[in-house]
Amino acid sequence: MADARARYWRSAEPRRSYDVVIVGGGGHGLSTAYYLARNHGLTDVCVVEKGWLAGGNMARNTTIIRSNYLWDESAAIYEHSLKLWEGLEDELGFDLQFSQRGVLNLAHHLGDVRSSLRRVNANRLNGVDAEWLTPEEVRAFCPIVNVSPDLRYPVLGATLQRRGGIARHDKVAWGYAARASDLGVDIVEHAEVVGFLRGPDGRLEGVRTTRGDIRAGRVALSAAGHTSVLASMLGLRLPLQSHPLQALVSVLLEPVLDCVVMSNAVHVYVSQAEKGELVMGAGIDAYNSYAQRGSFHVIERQMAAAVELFPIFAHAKLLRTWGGIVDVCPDASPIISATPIENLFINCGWGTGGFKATPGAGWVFADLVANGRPGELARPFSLERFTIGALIDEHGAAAVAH
Amino acid sequence: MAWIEFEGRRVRIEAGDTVASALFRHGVRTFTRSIKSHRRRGLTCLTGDCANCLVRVDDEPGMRSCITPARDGMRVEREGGVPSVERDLLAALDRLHPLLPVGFYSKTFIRPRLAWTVAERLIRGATGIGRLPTGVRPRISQVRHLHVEVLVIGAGVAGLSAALSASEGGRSVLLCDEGEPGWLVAPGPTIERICSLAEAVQRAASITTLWHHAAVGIYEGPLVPLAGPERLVHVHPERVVVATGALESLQTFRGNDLPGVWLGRGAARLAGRHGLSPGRRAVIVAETAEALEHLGALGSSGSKLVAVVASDEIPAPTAGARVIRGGAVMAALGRRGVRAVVIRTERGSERIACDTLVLSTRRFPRDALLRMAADLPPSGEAVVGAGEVVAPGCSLDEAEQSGALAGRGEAVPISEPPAPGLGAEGLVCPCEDVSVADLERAWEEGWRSSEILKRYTTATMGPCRGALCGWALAAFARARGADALASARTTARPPARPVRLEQLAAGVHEVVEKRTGLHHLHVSRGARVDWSGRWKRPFTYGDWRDEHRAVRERVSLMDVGTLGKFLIGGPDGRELLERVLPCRVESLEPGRCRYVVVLDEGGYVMDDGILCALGDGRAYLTSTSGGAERMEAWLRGWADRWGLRAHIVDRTSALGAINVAGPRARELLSRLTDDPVDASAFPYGAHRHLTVAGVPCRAIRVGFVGELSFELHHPRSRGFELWTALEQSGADLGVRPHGLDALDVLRLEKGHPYLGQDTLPDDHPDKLGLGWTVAMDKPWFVGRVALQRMRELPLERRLVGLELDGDASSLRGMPLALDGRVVGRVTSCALSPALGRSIGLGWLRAVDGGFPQVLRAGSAQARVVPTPFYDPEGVRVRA
Ligand SMILES: Cc1cc2nc3c(=O)[nH]c(=O)nc-3n(C[C@H](O)[C@H](O)[C@H](O)COP(=O)(O)OP(=O)(O)OC[C@H]3O[C@@H](n4cnc5c(N)ncnc54)[C@H](O)[C@@H]3O)c2cc1C
Ligand code: FES
Repeated sequence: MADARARYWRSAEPRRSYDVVIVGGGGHGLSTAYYLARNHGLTDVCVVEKGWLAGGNMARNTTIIRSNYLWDESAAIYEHSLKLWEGLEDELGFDLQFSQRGVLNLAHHLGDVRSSLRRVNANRLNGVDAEWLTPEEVRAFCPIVNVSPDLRYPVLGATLQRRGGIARHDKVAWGYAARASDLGVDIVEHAEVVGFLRGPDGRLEGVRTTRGDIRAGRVALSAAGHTSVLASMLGLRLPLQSHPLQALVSVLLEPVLDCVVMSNAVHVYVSQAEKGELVMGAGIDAYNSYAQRGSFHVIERQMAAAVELFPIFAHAKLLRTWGGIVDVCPDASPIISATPIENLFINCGWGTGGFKATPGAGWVFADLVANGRPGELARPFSLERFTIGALIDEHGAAAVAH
Repeated sequence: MAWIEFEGRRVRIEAGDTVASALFRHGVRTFTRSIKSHRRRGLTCLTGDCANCLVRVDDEPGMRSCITPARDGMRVEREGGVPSVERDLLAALDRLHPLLPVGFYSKTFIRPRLAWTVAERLIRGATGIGRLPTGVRPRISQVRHLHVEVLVIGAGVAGLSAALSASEGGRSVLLCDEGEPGWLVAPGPTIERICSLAEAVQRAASITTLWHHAAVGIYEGPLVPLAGPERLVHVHPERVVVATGALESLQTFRGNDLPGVWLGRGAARLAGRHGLSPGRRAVIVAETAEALEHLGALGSSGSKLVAVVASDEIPAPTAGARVIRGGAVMAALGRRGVRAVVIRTERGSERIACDTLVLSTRRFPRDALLRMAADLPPSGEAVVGAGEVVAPGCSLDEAEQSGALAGRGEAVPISEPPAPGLGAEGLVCPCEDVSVADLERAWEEGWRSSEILKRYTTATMGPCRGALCGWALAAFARARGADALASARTTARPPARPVRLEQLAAGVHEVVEKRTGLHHLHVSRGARVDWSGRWKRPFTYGDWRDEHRAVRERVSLMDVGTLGKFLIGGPDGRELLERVLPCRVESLEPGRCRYVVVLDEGGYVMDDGILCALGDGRAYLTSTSGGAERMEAWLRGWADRWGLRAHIVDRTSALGAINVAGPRARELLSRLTDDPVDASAFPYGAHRHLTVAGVPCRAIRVGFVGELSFELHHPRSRGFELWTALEQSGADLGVRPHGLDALDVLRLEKGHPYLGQDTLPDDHPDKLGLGWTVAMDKPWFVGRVALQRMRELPLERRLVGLELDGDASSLRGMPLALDGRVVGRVTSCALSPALGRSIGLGWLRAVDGGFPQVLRAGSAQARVVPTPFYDPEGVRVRA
């Protein structure tokens, strides 16, 4: 039963030069590296990470996976991602504790109900599984939800995506790291990118890191909350706001919840991990920050909502809270794009919901980096959309962090 | 005599008992089972630091029995273990341990996929130990806010002395403790010192004490939430002194988690405070001077001291026990509890029979709170430590002095804790059953920093939050050559002490429903009120069709008091509006009003409302009900940014508003006012002061519903009077109120989009057909630059009017298809009573450069038609 492999991945010494340098060893950076190697045969690739492997948002998210987004463009990319999840354990030969236990999105007022129904319809048209549940059906599916009509936020129904669920975040990162490493990708930890190498003509030629300069044919930024910091080193301003986002877990409890429940209106989303801890996410802290911690009042609000919706949680004890830094776009959709700087590509803006996109984003971004131009799935998510105003507004589906 | 009910039996309790001491006296040795390997666990620290004594008390899981006072009638059960803690069949897992050691959850059950599904159930069933009670109602907890100059956390010697010195000169001081002064300390010199300091604290007028309140964390501010019984206290101090002391280290050796292995202070407390002897035959490891006190307490409790494994600095204890110098514990043996220990000395190892092993070992700071504060901006400096938390192992005098300095805000001597020694065997992290060997394997596999070891092995992630193992994990990485970064202790995160989820919710009082002044009146008229944003508003008074008819044919009232209402004045008031609004402001004459949209910097429509020009440069502006708060912030934000001297007064909740609409509205009003209301004196697009039924009103002639209408804005307190007067004198005209359901159809017939329902956050006015509201010839307004740029691009999406076949009232949200391709969506629709056909609004995308005219919405045909549907010339509103 024990695994025979001695090492999961090689933590490499950086070489002087690579075809592609990926900045950021989170889920997205690692999956991009993997798909560059696997789909495009590009193995002269290096992932540079400033801390320990996948210690950013990848280590901090609440691991909710779903694809029930509103617009065609989003449905396409998130559904592509979900399909990849469905084969990922076989693909990576690695157990990811991927559990399709169903994701409920609660509706609490008329406006919610309308937009939820609309989303269900839109999802079905896009081939994404979606159902509408009445309050009674919600109770049957998840008996511990309080569906009493006298709540401040009564449950008027919910959408359900049965194929949605959770996975163990760390293992996803390790799985990608291991396989990318097997294919020849170098993963360099504790190397922070602090600047860029420009040629005499201003061409981008590589990155300057705390472990030395690395030349690169192409540079792919995948640094989540810090992408805009990196881009600004090149004089590029991105339409991103970085905010703290907090989450927490309770102590271990016997199983009480075997699906994922989310509520946009009251900003709480919860699942129970396989070991028994309740995993709950909060809303973002409204101010901008790069510190991986948030404010207490956000936790208080989140708990007020959680305890009202799930009275059974009242006596559970809090084990740990933490925060990550999420990069939010004005339309709550990501950016996967070439940039005005030649050889610089960016994948960012996944904000509060990019874990679920780990396989899909890596796939699509690898394709962009390898070919130099966006494929079908990436095209709508280009930087250009902020110039022409063709935003993909997913506030309805992504307003809450998950 | 008092009793607790323990697993169906009655257990006697004595004065001063905790749940743990009562159970121990009763003979309980195994208090719980470990999470992963189901190993037996018994009392260890008796200071609430470890997770070895968690039990269920009165249905609440995970209570630390060692610091929970026993009370008559309490129900106590142990948790974990199948079927019970004593006879746990899953303890067999422990014997499998070598097979599923680290990365337990990572490696096992990889393939086939189905196996995980089964394993998932099994693991969850086997490991979750806390059973949540069903049918609980969250207890109502309270929240308090306290503002003090100095907060001292921890009422030990250092904390008490810090509080005393901080209070000099009358500074306000709050001293809190998870328990009470000295409650965790066995009799001896320490307790005497604590008592005398505590008396002084009691006498000090400016010190407030809060016992049984544990600090949850330290946040920016600083803000320190304290969790107390049934309440949460937010403390907002100027300075914080953390005096949370230190904790003895759990040495690593085989069997270091067996029941019968004690930390020194724990064993001494059981003996000294509860008068119970931890066991019959004790071996004690004495690394600190305090060990002598522990020895004394144990001796007088009746334990026989078999051996003292003393380090060289410790003077020979007098108790007559055998002293072993230079020895180390290699193992504790036994199955249900300690039966013997193996001590290794230079001369070899020796097995000593005993049932208790007491570790009076070196102490490590209990510094989670301090570390949380370390990286806080400015307030970080406002938080300092005192006593053992910064100088572990310090003497009583040193602790008192350190507290005194910290209390005064002076620098405190700090000493590094000793490097923890790691044995070759045993558990590093008992909470998560992570052994030295596990860490070694993980290290070999490439997990080479404390943070990543933590994630892989789950060490430090247990309920004690790394209190017992955090130092050891870091030391493990350091011993293997990891650099400072890779061997740092894992980040300290709130909470520092366990807190119930319901307690965290204590301070949140959800914005209760907002109601207009007429709420009760609506209810008494049979209205169905429901949420509309944060407001509760009437949707219908029973028959929306008749309400609709009243508006179109007679006269009707609607409570529109929820609208945002702002008075804008000051020398630069007009200038502010001119810059913020995209329409012409300066040309609007006093007495006139105009429909305005408000754009954000992106040129997108964020709100709409009515702008009324008043005399002397002032203006009255309304916004949508949901947009009021944002509108105020928006205006103030821009005024601030530009340094404009503008006064913005939010009148939203001070004013009510009633819309009197319908062909006979004028007739009704003229019965109640002497002011002229005829079309020439008060035309469409104007606003006037009217006194209606004695109530002073600002009347605005605009018409969302498409009929002659007067919106009467009035002092909220007079709303009831006004409404009932209108109702009474309009009785013969057939007046009746209408709600949001009727309004939805009325405005649709006029083709007016509802912001939010028919629009998207990235709609610029052209997409909504509202281009006419924007004066592009103004040199500047918020959103102009973006709008200009977007106007150069072809329109890619547009809101259009639709005419649909049959009864289309349920088609909202339906996609609009062209030859099977989805190119749009219906956002509003209704079977119009006024027109007798189905109409709607919806989004269309441009197809090949043009907008299609005929589409399908489900089975119905949808044709694009111009709006308004009803009274396209607007004759009726202008009446
Ligand atoms: C509390 C919380 C809950 C969440 N819940 C969910 C959820 O339930 N479902 C979901 O789908 N998503 C969720 N998310 C969002 C998700 O975690 C992120 O969108 C996603 O992880 C981002 O991609 P990533 O994994 O590549 O980011 P990260 O893991 O943050 O990777 C970025 C990496 O870049 C590195 N880096 C930054 N600057 C530099 C530099 N100068 N040089 C080198 N390296 C650098 C960082 O150290 C980091 O490791 C949540 C996020 C948070 C914070
Ligand atoms: S011993 Fe409690 S978390 Fe490790």
